[in-house]
Amino acid sequence: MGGVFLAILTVFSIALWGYAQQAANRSYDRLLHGAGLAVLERVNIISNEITVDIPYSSFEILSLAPDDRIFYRIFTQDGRTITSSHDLRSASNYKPSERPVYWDDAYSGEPVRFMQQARLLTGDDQSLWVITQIGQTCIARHEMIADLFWRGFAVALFITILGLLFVWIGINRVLHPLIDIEKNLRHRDISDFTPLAISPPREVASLIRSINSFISRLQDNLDHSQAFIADVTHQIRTALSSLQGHLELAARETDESQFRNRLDRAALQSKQTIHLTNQLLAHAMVIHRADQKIKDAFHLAQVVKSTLETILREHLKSDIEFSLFIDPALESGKPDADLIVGDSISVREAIRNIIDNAIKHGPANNQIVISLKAKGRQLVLTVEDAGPGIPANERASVLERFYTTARNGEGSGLGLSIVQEVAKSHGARLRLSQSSLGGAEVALHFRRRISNV
Amino acid sequence: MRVLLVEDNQTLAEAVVERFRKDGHVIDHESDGNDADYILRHKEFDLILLDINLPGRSGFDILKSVRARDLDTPVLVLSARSEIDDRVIGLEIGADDYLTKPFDFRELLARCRVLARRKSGLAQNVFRAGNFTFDWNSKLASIDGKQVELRNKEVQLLELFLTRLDRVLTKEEIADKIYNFDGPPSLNAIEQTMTRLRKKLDGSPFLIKTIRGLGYIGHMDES
Amino acid sequence: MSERACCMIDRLRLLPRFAFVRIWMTVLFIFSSHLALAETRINIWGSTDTAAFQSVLVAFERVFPEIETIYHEVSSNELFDLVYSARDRGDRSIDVVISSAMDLQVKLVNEGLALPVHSDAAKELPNWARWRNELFGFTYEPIVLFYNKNALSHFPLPRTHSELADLLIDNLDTFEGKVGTYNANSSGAGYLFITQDAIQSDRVFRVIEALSRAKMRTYEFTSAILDAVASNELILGYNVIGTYALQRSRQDDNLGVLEFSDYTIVMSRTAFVYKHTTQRAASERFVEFLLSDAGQMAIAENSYLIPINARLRKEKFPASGTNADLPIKLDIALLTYLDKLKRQNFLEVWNSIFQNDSTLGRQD
Repeated sequence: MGGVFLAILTVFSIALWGYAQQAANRSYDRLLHGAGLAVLERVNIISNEITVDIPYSSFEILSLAPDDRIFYRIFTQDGRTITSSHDLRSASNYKPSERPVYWDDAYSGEPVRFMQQARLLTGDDQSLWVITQIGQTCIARHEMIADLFWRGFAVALFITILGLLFVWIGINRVLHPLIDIEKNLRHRDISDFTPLAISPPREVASLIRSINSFISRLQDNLDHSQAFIADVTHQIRTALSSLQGHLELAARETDESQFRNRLDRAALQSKQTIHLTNQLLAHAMVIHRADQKIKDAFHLAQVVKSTLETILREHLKSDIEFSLFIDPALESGKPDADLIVGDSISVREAIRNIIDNAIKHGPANNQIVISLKAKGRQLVLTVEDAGPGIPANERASVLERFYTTARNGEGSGLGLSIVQEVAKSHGARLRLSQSSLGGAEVALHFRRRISNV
Repeated sequence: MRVLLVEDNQTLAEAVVERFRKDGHVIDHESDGNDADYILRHKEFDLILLDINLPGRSGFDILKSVRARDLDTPVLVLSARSEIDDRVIGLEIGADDYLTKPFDFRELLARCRVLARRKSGLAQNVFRAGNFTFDWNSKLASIDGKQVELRNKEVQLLELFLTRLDRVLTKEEIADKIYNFDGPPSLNAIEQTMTRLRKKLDGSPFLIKTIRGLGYIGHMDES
Repeated sequence: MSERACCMIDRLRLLPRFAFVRIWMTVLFIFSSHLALAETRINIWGSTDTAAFQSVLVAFERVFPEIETIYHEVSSNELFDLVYSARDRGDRSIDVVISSAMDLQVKLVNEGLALPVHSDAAKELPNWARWRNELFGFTYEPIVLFYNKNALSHFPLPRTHSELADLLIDNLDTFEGKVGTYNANSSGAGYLFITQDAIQSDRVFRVIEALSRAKMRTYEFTSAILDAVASNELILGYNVIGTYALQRSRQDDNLGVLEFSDYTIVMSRTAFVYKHTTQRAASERFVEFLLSDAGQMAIAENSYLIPINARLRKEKFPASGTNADLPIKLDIALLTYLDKLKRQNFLEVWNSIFQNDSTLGRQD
C-alpha cells in the first residue's frame, strides 16, 4: 500500500517536473523570442551597411528574469557579425527562418538557453537573412521549475490528504447505516419480517435492498414451510387416524374372518403411512440438500444403473419387464461423457421416484424403459411405461404436492413433486408426455458438465 | 443361523427377535454399541443386524472394528437415514447390505437368507433352497431329488449366480468369469447358455431375471 | 598609516550623535588590535576619489585590523578595460572592483567576472541596487544641475528639464558656451547619464536641442566642470554627480546644486568581488562592510559620499521636495547602450551635436 503510494508519488513527481520544465521553458522562451523580435525590428540597411540599433526594451524584456546573464550576437546568414557581446557559435545546421529555434548549452560556466531567429532583410539589389542569437542563463527558469514543482506537489499532497479525509468521512458515513442495520438485525424478533426502513445513502442502498429482498424471500420460504407443515400434518394425521380406526375395529371384532380382514386393512394402511412418511422425508431431504447447494460432479449413467439395481431387488418376483438403454456415446465415449454437476443422492431419489411411479401406476406386466441419451449439451434421462399415462390436462397438477392420479390411496402425491424439486435445484428441465409404449413418459434434461464437446 | 441384532429401539428389537426365533434362528440382542462390540470379540455369529444410531458406539465404528479383525461375518445395516447410499456397502464401510427403516420383515428375512448363504453356502458342501440342491463338490444339481443334467458351462453359470444372488451381473462380468480352453465366450453364446439353464431349472425356486441393457439377476424365490 | 589613524580619531571626535556606535567600534578596535595585524591584504580598484573613499577604508581596517586594504584609483573606462582583460594578462592583484559606471559594472558581472556574496545587509538593499547577489550599490548619488549663483541671479531657477530648455533657448546670448557636461566619448559616467536621459527621450528631446543650441562644452572629469562653474567660465554644469557638486557648494556659497523635479537620475557606486580573487573571504567581508550599518555610517559621516541606506542618507542631502528620483536600475538593460554598434551610433550623433570637445580638468 505504502509502496504503491510511493510509486505513484514518484511517477507523479517525474511528470510534474517535466511539466514544470516545459512551462518554465515556454514562459522564458517567450522572453527570448520577444527580445529577439525587438532587436530584429531595428535592423536596417543604411548606405549599403547593415546596422542594428538594439532597443532598450529588448534587454528590458530579458531583465524580467532578474538574475540571469545574457549573451548575444547579431550576424548575417554568411556568418558576418554585425554586433555582439560575445563571439557565440550559431545553432548547428541552422536554416534561417522567422521561427525561433531554442537549445540548451553551457556557456561561460553556466547552463544557458539559446534562441536564434532570423529576419529577411530586403535591400535595393539583394536580400539576406539577418540572424539574432540570444543566450540567457537559466536561474529564473530553474527557480520557476522548482516553484511550479513544489507548488504542484503541495497541491497534490493537499488534495491527497483531503481525498483521504473524504474517504474516511465517506466510509464513516457509509458504515453508519451499516451499524444501524447490524443493530436492527441483532435485536430483531425472528418472526419480524418488516423490511429495513433506513433512509440509505446511495452506497449502501443496494445492500439494504438485498437484505430486504432476503427478508422477503425468508418470509416466503417460511410461509411455504408453514403451508407444507400444515399439509403434512393433515396427511399424516389422516393416515394415522385411519390406521387407528382399522385397529380399533379389529380389536372389537369377534368374528375370526372379519378380524383378519380388519387387520389386513390396518396393515395396508400402515404400509401406506410408511410410504407417505418416507416420501415426506425424501421430499424434505431433497429440499434441504438443494439449500446446501451441493455441486459435485458425478456420472449420471452410474447413478441410473445403481438406482435401477436397488429397485430391481425390490421387484424380483414381479413380471415387470425392465430395460435400460444407455447411449453408446456415453457408455463407450469419453470417461466424462456422462458427467453432471449436483447432488447424486437427490438425483438418485428423483430417478427412484420416477421409476416407482411407473411401477405403481402401471399393470403387473408393465414394461418400463429407462434410457439415457446425450443431446448436445444435455443429458436426457427418460422413463417410459406401458401404464395408463398422465392425462394431458393433469400434467401440470401432478407436479404439485399431494396431488395424485391414483385413486386407491396408494399414491402419496409427492413423487413427481420430489422430482420437480430435484430438477429445479439442478437446473434441469422436467417434461411429461405420452410414451410410445402407451403410458407416461417422464424426461429429465440435465446440463452436461463438458470440458469440450 | 446365529444372529446378533444390535438395535436400541426396544419395541423394534423385540419384534425382530420374536420373528427370527419363530423361524428357528438363534438370535442375540444388544442395545448398546459398546456391549455389542464386546460380545463380538468373544462370540461368533453367522450374521449381524446392525443399527447405525446407537448409544455408546456408532454402528459404523462397530463395523470398522469387526472388519479390522478380519471377520468376514455378513453385516446387514438397518438405517433410519434416508440419504444412505452405496458407500455403506463395499470397501468404504464394509457392510454387505442395508435396509432402510421401516422395513418389511419378509424382506429382512429374505435378505438375511441371501447373506447367510453367501457365506455358509460356500462353506457347506451342499446348497439348498426349497426343492433345489446343488453339490459344490460333485457339481450336481437336483430338483425334488431328481438330478438335472448340466453341461460344464451351465454349471459355471449356475455357480456364478449362486455366489452372487440378488446382484446384477452384466454380460461382460459373466463373460469375464466363465471361460474355457476356447477362450472367453461370445455374448451370444452366454445368452444361449442362459436360456438352457433357465429351462433345465424350471420348477425350482431359482430364477434368472433379465434386464435388457443392464444384465441378469439370479434369485431364489422361497416365499 | 599613522596619518590615517589620526584622521580617523579626528573624525570620531566629530560624531557625538553616534556615541554608541563609536564606543562599539572603539571596543572592537582595541580588542582586535591585540590580534595579529594586517595578515591579509586586499586590492580594491575604483574610480572614486581616493580622498572621498579613504575614510571608508580606515573605518573598515579599524573593524578588521587583520585585513589591509590597498586602494587603486583609475578612471571608470580604464577600470573596465583593466578588469575585463586581467585574467588574460595573468593579473592577480584585483580583489574588489568599485565603480560609478553602473553599466560597465553590469557588463563585467555579465561576463561572469564576479563572485556571489551572501550577506544580510545586501538583503536590505533596494531591488534596483543589486544584481545577482554579486553586484551591490552602496551609495545614493543624484545627478544634478550645478550652477553659479551670481551668474544665474537674473534668471529664475529651472525646476524641470523643460524649464531648463526654455531658459537656455530664451537666453541664448547669455548661455551660449556657458553650459558644460561630461564628454560622453571619454567619460564612462557621462555616457551613462546621457544615455539614461535618452531613455527618457520624450521629455529630454527639447533639452538636448537647447543644449545643442547653447553650444554646450564637454569635459573629461567632474572636477573640471565644477572648477569651470566656480570660475564663472560656465554658468551651468549639466548632469553632474551630486555628491561632488554638493561638497564643492559647501565650500563656496556662490555655487548651487539643483535637483530637477520632473526626474532626477540617481547613480549608485557599485562593488563586486572579483571572480579570480585570491582573498575571497576578506573581499567578501569588505563588500559586506560597505553595505553594513557600520560601513554606511562611515560613508555618511566620514566621506562626502551619500550612503544608500535611507535612514543614514536623509539629512545628508538637502530636501528639495522632489520625489522624482529615478535610480538607475542594475540589470542587463544597461547593456543596451554598451553594444558596440549602438555606442558608436550614439556617439556619432553626440559628436555631430557637440563638436567642441573640451579636455579640461582632472580625474572624476
